[in-house]
Amino acid sequence: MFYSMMFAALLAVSAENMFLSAGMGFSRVLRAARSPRGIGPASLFVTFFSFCSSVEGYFLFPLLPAEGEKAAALRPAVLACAAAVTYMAAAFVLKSFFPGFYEKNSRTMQLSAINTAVLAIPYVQNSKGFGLAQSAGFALGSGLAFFIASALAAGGAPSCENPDMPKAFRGLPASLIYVGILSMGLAGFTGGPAF
Amino acid sequence: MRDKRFIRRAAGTIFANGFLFRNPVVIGALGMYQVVSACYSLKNAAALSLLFLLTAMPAGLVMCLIGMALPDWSRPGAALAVSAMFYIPAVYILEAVLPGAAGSLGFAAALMVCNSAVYSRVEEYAPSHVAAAVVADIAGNSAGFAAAACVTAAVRELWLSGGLWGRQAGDAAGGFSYPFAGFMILGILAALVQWINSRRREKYAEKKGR
Repeated sequence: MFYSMMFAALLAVSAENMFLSAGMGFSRVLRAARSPRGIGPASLFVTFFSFCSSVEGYFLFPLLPAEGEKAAALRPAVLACAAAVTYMAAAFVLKSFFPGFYEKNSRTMQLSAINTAVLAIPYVQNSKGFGLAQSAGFALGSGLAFFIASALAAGGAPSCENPDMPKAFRGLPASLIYVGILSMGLAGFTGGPAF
Repeated sequence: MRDKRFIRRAAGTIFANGFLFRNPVVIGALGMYQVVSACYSLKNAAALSLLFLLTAMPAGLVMCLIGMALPDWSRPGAALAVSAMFYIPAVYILEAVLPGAAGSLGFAAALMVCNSAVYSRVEEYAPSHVAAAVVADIAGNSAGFAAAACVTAAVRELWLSGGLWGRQAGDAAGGFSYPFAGFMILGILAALVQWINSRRREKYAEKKGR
């Protein structure tokens, strides 16, 4: 069980990297990269909420319609509601018992809890046929993948502001092209889009 | 009369900001997943744009009504739950307009419910603004998302199949349909909008100098 969990975590960091291979949650990655000190807490929150999302997905998916229009409409809505409840419960507990911590990290927590990468976990585990241990491993690996993607984006940020490049390309445009090149490198390893 | 004209002008400015000058995708770097991973055909881009509008508009209006009555800590969760509620009818309307689109788009359609561009309008903008401003903002952002999605999709579809509106939703093929190509096209689009914005600022400064 431990090995399958670790293998799933390795997949999440490498070949099935949701952030660099598929661009999921990338707006959060770029935001975290703007303040490198916040990357650690953001990654921990992503790991926690990804884990919660994987558990919710594991128990909710079998109860939801599997195919057709009903599935396309209901599954995302129910899983998003479950994520909303998880976020509210976590926010309530932190605000009530650790108000200082909550005040300092509420925005980071919010952006880490509500993003496409965290809500994609149940779909990924369903499409790959993961069990609970593998799902948990994938969720943990996703937190690490978020950390790596944010660190790479933060590391490339000074180059993306290089005054030698045309003014219009400085900042976000250069960051997007830089991320595109990183993503192309990963696509070369996986042989195609991961999701 | 003057009030009406003022509201119309303000709404026009809000719309233009969402559509171009503060485009959610190429300036705000929001909602990129759908654009880079699924916008390799115009059909996909149209389906996702429609889903964006149909989810964000009613959710934004509801959050405009109830947002400020909710405690701060619960507002993000409430915004996500309200978006999820309106995602259900949005999918049925999408299926009526473009049959089979929601199913074949897979993850990209399903994750529209937590798209960061939708979320930022519903959670951040809508609760603190009046309904007219919310409508203009979400219409502008929907048009901005659609513009970024359609331009990205058109470039990729032309490259992949030499035509437009021919590829089936979910029909990925070739390197240009991979997310890296989406990131690069978005980078070039972002540079174009930044150039337009800097020209606009220069013109404004010239006018003020005179």
